[in-house]
Amino acid sequence: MLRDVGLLRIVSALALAGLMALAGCGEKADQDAAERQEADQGPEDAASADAETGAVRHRGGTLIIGTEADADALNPVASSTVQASDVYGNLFCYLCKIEPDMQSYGPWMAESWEFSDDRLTLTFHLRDDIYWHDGVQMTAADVEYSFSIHKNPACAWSIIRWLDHITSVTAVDSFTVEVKFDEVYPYQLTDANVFRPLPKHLLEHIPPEEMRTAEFNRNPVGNGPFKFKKWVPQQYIELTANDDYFLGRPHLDRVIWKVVPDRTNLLTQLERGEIDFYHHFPPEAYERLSKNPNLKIYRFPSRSYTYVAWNLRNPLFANRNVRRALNMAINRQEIVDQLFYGLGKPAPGPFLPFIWAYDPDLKQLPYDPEQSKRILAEEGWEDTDGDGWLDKNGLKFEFTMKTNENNTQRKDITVVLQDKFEDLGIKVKPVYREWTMFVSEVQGRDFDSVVSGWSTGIKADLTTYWHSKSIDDKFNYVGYSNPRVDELIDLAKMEIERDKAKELWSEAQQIIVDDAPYCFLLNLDDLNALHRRFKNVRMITYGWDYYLTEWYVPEEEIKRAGATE
Amino acid sequence: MTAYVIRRVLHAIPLLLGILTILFFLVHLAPGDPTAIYFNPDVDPEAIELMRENLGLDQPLHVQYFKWMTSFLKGDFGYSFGLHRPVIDVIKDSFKNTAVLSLAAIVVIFVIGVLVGIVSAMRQYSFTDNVLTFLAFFFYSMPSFWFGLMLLLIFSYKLGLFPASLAASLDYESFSWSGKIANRLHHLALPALTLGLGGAAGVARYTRGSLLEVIRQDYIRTARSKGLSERTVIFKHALRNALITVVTLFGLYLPFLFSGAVLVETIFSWPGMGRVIVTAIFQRDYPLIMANTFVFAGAVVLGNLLADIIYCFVDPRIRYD
Amino acid sequence: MASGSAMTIEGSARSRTSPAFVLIPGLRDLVTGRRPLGLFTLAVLILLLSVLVFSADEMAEGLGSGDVGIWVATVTLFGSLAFLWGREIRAFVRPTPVVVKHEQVSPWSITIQQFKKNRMALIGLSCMILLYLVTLLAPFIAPFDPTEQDLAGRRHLGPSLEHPMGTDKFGRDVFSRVVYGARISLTIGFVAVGISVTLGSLLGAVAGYVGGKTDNVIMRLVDMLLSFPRLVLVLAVVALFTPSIFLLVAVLGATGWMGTSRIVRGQVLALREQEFVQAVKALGLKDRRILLRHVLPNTLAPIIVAATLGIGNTILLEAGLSFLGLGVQPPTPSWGNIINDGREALLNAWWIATFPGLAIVLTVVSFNLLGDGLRDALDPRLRD
Repeated sequence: MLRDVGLLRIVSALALAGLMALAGCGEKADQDAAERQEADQGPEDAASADAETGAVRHRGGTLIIGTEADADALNPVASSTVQASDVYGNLFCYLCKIEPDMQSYGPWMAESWEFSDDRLTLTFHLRDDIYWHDGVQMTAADVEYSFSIHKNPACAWSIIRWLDHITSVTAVDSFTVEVKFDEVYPYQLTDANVFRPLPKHLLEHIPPEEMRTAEFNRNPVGNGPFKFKKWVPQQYIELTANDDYFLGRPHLDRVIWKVVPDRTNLLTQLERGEIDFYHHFPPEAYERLSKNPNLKIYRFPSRSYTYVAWNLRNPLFANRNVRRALNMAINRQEIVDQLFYGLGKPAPGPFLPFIWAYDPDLKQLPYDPEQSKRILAEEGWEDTDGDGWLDKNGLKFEFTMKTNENNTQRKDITVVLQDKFEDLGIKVKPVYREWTMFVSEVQGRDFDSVVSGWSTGIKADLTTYWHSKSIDDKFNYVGYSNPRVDELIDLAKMEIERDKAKELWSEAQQIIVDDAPYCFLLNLDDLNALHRRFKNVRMITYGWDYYLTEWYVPEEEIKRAGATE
Repeated sequence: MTAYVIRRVLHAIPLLLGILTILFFLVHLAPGDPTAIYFNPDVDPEAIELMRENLGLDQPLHVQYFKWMTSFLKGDFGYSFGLHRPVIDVIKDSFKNTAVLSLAAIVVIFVIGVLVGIVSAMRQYSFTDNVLTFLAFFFYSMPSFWFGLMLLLIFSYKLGLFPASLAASLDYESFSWSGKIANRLHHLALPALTLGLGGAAGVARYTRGSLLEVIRQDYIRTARSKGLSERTVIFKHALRNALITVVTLFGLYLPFLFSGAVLVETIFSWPGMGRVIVTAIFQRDYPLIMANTFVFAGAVVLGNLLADIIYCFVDPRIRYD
Repeated sequence: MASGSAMTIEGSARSRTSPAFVLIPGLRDLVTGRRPLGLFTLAVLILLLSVLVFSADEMAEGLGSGDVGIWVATVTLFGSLAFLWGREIRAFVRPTPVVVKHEQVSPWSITIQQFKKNRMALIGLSCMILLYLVTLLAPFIAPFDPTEQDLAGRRHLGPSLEHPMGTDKFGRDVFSRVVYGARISLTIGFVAVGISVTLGSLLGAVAGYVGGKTDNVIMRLVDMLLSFPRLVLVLAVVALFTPSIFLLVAVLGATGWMGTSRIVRGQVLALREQEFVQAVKALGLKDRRILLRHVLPNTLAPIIVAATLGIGNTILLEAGLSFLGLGVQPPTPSWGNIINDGREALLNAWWIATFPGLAIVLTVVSFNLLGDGLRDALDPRLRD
């Protein structure tokens, strides 16, 4: 052992030398693209190219996407995370594809469809050239099976409610599917299209209770443009191009989601070329990334908004005028400009501009702290004891503002708001809760005010948050109730005529904004950074990967294998 | 000696069970709901209720405990709610990575620590000794996560010399055999250094003190007076006895190593158990938290056992316990 | 002036001729050859006086409004100044003959003598004193309010004269936050260690004194808890309940007593057999009294060492927890959570994460040096 000490010395010296050598030939950033000349090919150029020869000419390339969390399961019916949906969205298809404007549908796996005269039956005609990645052909039986599995409560699919109005889905023949509804309403097509058909032959023998733990979830077989290759848990997921995709093989060879839980790390890897794409990057990085010659920034309005919710059960917030005063004291534009570098807009109201039901003439509450002070004084709030805080009848105007621990943006907002409200004499105490506790408390209505966000879908429906029947069980957790709004919602939901529905929704939006149960804070932009070598890239609000199959990498810029870090 | 070993092992078992029991009740009595990760306006409360049923969360606590304990002892660690995989798979994958990191850190700790300790002792009170002592204190008192951040900032972000995450590159499979080893070492360098330097400082101080004490002993004087070279005296006689105590440190360091691993893995996005347990705690992923903690504690107990056994071999005095 | 015989009366001679020394604490030490002490005293004096001068109006305002922090700071300020001058006055008024060779030898004075010789330990001690001064005088030392934001003007500014440690993403001065963070971190460290040392001493003493089954049970518990990576255990508890400073301190205290209990138990076991304990027992004193009055005080020394080293560790642990988001909650500054804030901005604003870390290192090094020094001073084998 003692002689070993001498040996130890030698070994450690060698080890050290070895490490140094390794460091020297370690992978460095791939700076090639910066030197290359390239015309910035916009979508117009690509659209005019011949699809057939284009596909052959531009085949190849790997896209490495950086993501902060791993997926949970690559099976639409068993998964609940956004990360997973990013991945399986490219493995599976819907019957119809939503148009970029998110207001109507085009064909995808269904070539055509039609409603019956009474509009209670919707018939889809499927393509006959769709094959699952294992070679089996897709038929209407798959659709019928998928409906039943998604609707089965034992699977606990998260948006099972959307299937409420569908009574049955039947395979009339190999490529015809009949969907029957129990009533007529505007979103029949949307609802019928809400579930992705899954391979019956691989899943039907799995009992629904075990769907969440099925092996299939880690080794999925789909029918989309990409097929599953590999998943190293917590590290990366790899997909490869599907040569037999019925709409034509995508240009890219591989798509990899690399899990990097740390943001700074993600940014660095992006800048060094170790990952190609970072979507939803934080606003702080915008300036840095836009100066990077290798990257192109794609920026468009996002589908979510951040808000401050006032608990209407709290005596402080029960008064409508007080709520309005609070909202008017918040300078939303300044928050967007200062905290988020101007990369977004104040949120207008319960509907975001991309939804058809959004009213562009919506009148919002102005930023007017003077008026706030006046209103508060009128409502009896004054600093009678000279301690710097407003009070009324012995009650000090102070409350907590909760948000979830792991969201830095929301925490930052609470810090700023605390400061601003202090100027009014209102004491705000930010409280951060770990996510599951936060959810428990919010659902248990245990909060004064909350900073949180909603991600909105394509359906225009305010029931979940603003209808009084949602107060007890669902997500109208502030306890908002306005009979006129209830009425408007009920009518508008069933109104098939767009224009009439729009009128109803306009009124509803305005009332909600005026009643101020929330302060609709921000609609931040969706920020994405992609390496320049990817061409023919278009990104829309619906999803960054909407046109993924059209992206390609010019041959001379395809990275050699082994250069990916 | 076998009796000694067996006794130590038997001593360990109720230890672990006690730990697990306490943890079980603690975790289950805490507020917060594991199904909350599915919070989504469209999710039906009935669907959530069904999920709770599926996961067995609606049964009374003692029933859950019993069921869980029996399956645990059978080796079935249950299913992770948050990661949607059997817990045993999660542990298998992440344990490998933490083990690799810990081993690398141990190498750093003991190789650097002992060497520095020897140099320090041999040149006691000299300038070198003072500098090394100062450095030892510095590294010993440093928050590992901060040091890791600084290393990341300088060597990874600014200089680009080392990778900043993962245990191996994406195209690892395509590398040659030597390429694979090189790649792994490259990724290991910063995290292992971060995790190990603090411990190395401690070991250096300890070795120094131990060696100094040993040097004062009579038998060393005897050896010297016999005319043996200083080198032989130190390395052949003094070090052996000094290192005995250092070996025991190995057992002591394990818990700290794992604690440190939690922070270091978080910073370097190292896919090991430390990172897993942090996420699991935030998601209230009970089965995963239990199993993970069990593995940690088990590793510590085993490590101590190992240290005891080695000590037994090395120090003849304690063989007859 | 008396000349060098073994029993010199140096002190009185010197102090009699120097009212200047009373005015400026520190000079006397410099002149009598105790350079480090003299310099240190002078430095502290200058610090205190400058704080006094620059913060006079803040002080007046704060005292009026009943701000606890300012009261504490004022008391500390004047108290320290009083201490410094008081020391001088005492030396001036009561010239104690500094008898060199024929001293009364008590274990404490030997310890103190040894300690004084250890330079590193003295450095640790002085750093610690400075740290606590800074902590207590925080309202006067921090140039800005740690929560004062300036989104428009001051975000992410690098270190400068006005902001020696730069500003963070809300425009808050990092230096002020670090100074206030010192309060939180040091307080938590102190109280948590207080709890664990008390708990550990009691349990260890009981285990050692009573022996038998109780000893067995307690030591098993100790083994059990020691098998845990402490961070994991603390993480589990703190994460499962609501993080708050109170919970933090309680949990840190409840998981750090094991080491102390082992030490104390060892000492008690050794002492139990000694004559003075037997004697007291024979006198019929109750066990509890024996334990508290006679046994424990003799174990004080290693406990103090353990406590001092423990504070360092606890500060590191708290920093780690705050870093993960489970310790002190923002916007209250704690070194750990400032580093966490800085983590995201590492590329743009490296200063936010760097300085609090340095502060932690400085603090923990001081405590470790101090503890190490105490341990060496108390160790009879290292006496020369």
